[in-house]
Amino acid sequence: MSTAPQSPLIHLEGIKKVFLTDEVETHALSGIHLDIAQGEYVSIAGPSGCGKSTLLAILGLLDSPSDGTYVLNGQQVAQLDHSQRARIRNREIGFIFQSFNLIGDLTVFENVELPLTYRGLNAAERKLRATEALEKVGMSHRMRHYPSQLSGGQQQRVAVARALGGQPSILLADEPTGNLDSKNGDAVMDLLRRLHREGATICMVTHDTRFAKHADRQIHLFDGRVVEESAGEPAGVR
Amino acid sequence: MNDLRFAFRQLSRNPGFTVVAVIMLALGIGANTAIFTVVEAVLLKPLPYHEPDRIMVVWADNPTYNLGIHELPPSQLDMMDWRQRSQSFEQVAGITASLTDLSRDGGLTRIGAVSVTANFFPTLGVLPARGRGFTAEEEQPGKDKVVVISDALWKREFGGDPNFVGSSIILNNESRVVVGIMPPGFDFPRSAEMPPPYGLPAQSDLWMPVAGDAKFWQDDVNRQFIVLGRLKTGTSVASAQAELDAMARQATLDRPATHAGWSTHLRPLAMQVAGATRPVLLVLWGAVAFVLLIACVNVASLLLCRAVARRKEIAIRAAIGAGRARVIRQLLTESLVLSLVGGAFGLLLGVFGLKVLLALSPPGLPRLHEAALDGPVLLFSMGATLVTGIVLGLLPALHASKVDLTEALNSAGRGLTEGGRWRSHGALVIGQVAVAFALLVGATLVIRSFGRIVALDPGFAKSGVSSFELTFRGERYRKGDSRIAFFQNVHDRLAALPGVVGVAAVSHLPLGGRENVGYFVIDGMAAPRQGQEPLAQCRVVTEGYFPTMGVGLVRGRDFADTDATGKLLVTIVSETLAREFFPTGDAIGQRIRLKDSGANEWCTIVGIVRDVRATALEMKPMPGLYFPHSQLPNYWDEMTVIVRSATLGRTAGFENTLRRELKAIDPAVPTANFRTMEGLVSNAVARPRFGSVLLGLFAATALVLTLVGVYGVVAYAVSRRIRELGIRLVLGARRGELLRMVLMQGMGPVFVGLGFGLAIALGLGRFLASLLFEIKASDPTTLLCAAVGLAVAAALACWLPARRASRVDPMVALRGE
Ligand SMILES: Nc1ncnc2c1ncn2[C@@H]1O[C@H](COP(=O)(O)OP(=O)(O)OP(=O)(O)O)[C@@H](O)[C@H]1O
Ligand SMILES: [Mg+2]
Repeated sequence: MSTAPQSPLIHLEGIKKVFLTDEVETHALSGIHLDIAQGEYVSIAGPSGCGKSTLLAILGLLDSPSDGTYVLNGQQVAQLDHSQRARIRNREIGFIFQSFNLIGDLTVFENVELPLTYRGLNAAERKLRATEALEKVGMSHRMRHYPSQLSGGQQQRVAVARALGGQPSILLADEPTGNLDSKNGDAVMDLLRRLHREGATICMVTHDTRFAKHADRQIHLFDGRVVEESAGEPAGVR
Repeated sequence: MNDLRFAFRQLSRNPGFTVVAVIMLALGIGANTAIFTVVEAVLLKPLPYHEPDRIMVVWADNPTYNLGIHELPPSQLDMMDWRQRSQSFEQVAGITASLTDLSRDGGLTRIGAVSVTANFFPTLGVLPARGRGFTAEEEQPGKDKVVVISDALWKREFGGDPNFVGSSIILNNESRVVVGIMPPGFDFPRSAEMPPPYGLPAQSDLWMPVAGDAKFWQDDVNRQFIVLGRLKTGTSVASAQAELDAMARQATLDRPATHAGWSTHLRPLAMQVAGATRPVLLVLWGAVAFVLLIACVNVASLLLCRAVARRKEIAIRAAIGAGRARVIRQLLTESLVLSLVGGAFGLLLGVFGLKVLLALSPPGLPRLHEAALDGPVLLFSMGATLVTGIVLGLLPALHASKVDLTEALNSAGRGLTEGGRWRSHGALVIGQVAVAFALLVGATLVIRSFGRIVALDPGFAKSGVSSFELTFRGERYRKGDSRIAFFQNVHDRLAALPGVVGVAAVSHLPLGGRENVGYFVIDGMAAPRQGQEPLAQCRVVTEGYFPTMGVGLVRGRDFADTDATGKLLVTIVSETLAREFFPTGDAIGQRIRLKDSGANEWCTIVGIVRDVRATALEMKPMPGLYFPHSQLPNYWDEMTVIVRSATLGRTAGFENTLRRELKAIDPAVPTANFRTMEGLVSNAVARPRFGSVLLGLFAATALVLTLVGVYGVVAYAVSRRIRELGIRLVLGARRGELLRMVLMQGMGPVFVGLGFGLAIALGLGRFLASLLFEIKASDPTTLLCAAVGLAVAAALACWLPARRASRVDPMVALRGE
């Protein structure tokens, strides 16, 4: 709708990532150019080992690129130090993993609350936001449960709530349905779609073409390069 | 058998784990073996006498004197009274020190000797190996020229001549017939086994009968005999004590002049002999038990980690049908194998440890020569090892056998982080920190006590003074003038030696092992109630004693050469005496005399000197009286010459120089016991030093083991929680926050452990009481320092793995399991 040439939420330019192990250089990413706009839903696909997770890690500031420029929300973030990256990660990024990655010792509520704790919010604020996020994913009735008492699909919904709680600029998801059966997978995907409709920016790695089509834009990686970009099916038409 | 083979395979597959566990167990079991060997020899092994449980030492006590010693000798009359009227004892024998010199080849040799009543050997139930003991007749003057010698003396001085019994030897210028030779090893009494001030030899080599006339045996004033009683068969200590109590009560009525305020108490000889060593050894025994406990906790913790890591293996075993008992048996087998290997090395370490222990032990630690790795010690070590193995295995076994199968087999696949299974580890850390803290507090208290004893000002010079004893015997020195002249001669010759700055003599050298205590009376003071006459340590000193010995003059004047026979009789008193008996006025100018013997004419107080801690450093000084040798030359036959020199005492040849000089003056005066004050002080602190060195060593071991344990648990927790830490980083945790989190979680049980440790330390404090000097078991500074020290050390132990935790790569969260 907006026609103004808005600067993108994420701007990657010439991103390279080289891993050095035992004198062997692995070029995981070899010059990625990518813009992701506010409110966009991008899916990334490609064969195993092509660099999807590496790209996601760089987007999520878990790792820094060997070379290239990364501008997030107008800020250069490629070469920040650990604690600055932790702060931006905490505020701007929501992560959803293939293997849920809930902390077994903490209740559902505490898991969702955790990133808010790291942000230094007070208890009341944390409670408000965590409850809200759990309501969004339909898990507020299991707040006091421990993750081990939930099904896989439920655990992943809690993980989504945890990613949402901090109201991040972008949700990064690495094969969020990989460990789920198709029914639970569908439910999680429906959830992401709904969040996208409500305005969330999402960048998701998936092998499943069905789900890739949910996205506004599909990116194909091969050997560390973007080889193809295509529009998704107009499911989310405006 | 299968279990055993599997156990060995498991242990050899993890050599690092096995080595660490074996080292810790060997340390614990080794320390226990070494200490137990000593405990067994000193405290548990029966004394080498006939039915030793029936042998008692009979002491008198009079609390009104506040001497700090409650083991005072009874009078001769008491001894005779018990012998004749008591129904409890089969035998009542007396022992008293006897300075004895053996003349051989023109020289004199000091022999460790005691005078005993004729029934001394039957009382102990040990008879001479050759010859005979004493007969009752030989208690009569004139018929007493007989002697029994030790096996050691026989071999050392007389070449073990098989026909030696019946020969005569010259003792103190008198000929005596050797009637018996004791069996090897018999050297009772030994000074270390009796209260300090009775002048007993380090070990006895020679026994002579006490001979006395009727008057001697009716003496009710002098108290010089250590009395042994052999209980009749079937008589209990309690009933014998009751009888003695009744007799003591009767004596206070019948003989109030000498018995008002006096009581009698029995002490089993075994207890007496172990004496002050007993609490030290018991505390050390407790300490090594603690060390073993901590070592066990560490190994249990390691085993528990493995049990957690092996949950899958165990779950699979259970899933294919192994019962709970089987699983427990398997794990127990492993821990037993481990503890047996640890025990074997521990035994080796114990042998070595015993050598170290014997090297460190204070001189005269009773019965130490009996310490050996014998049957009971082996049994003890075996027992400790087996108990260790079972305790070790049980915890992980129970833990593992409770594994929830479905959870163990499923949860790993679910992307849940580990954790939540640290309660057992936490409990172990709490336990070991608590025990280590208690030990640390105990060691600190004992070490601080030792420090205080060492730092005490005993009132005399602790170094730079050499001493030796000499004895006046026979016609030549019967007259006082000859003794005065002799000392003048000694003074002139020794003072002329280069480097010597002072020479004097004293009847009872401080810390010399003998004291002379007498009742005194003050002129013009109301007569005290019977049984409450004041007591003072009495010393006869030559001119110049105080500066030479480093005893400061507080007021008045020192003795001078004008204080001669025929002039005004004078005395110098100690500060305590002046303070207690002349609280308002000035002691100087007042008159004082001894009640019974020696200076029993009025002496005028001319000076006040500093108190000296003469009996033992830790003992409060008691009133002291000094008399000039020039006015009381015959008061005491044995005198100690002291020579002050900053450096000479430490040179090897000085003793020979002194001997040579003395020989030149009069070769017939026997000299003995060349000692330096440094040596005496060092001996006086040997027992607390022994206690503090060992306790410090054990506490340090406990501390190191505990830190290893804390480190191990936290490090293991971190290694199991890498993924969780990664997730936390992904969610925006800063590295500092992770560091803090791990640190706090690691320190949680440490703080709880400190709390429990405080309770243990306070609870066990009373067992330490007898090892402490001027410090309470609940001393807040010590508790605080130990707590802070342990907490800081534990924080360091946590910090290492915590730092590793904070360096986790957040990428671990992205990767699959
Ligand atoms: N820490 C690392 N060290 C060395 N090489 C790495 C590292 N992480 C990733 N790689 C390599 O980089 C390449 C890209 O890996 P990446 O995990 O991004 O692939 P992927 O596309 O996510 O694959 P998959 O679909 O299997 O998850 C691979 O060749 C991988 O081996
Ligand atoms: Mg991947």
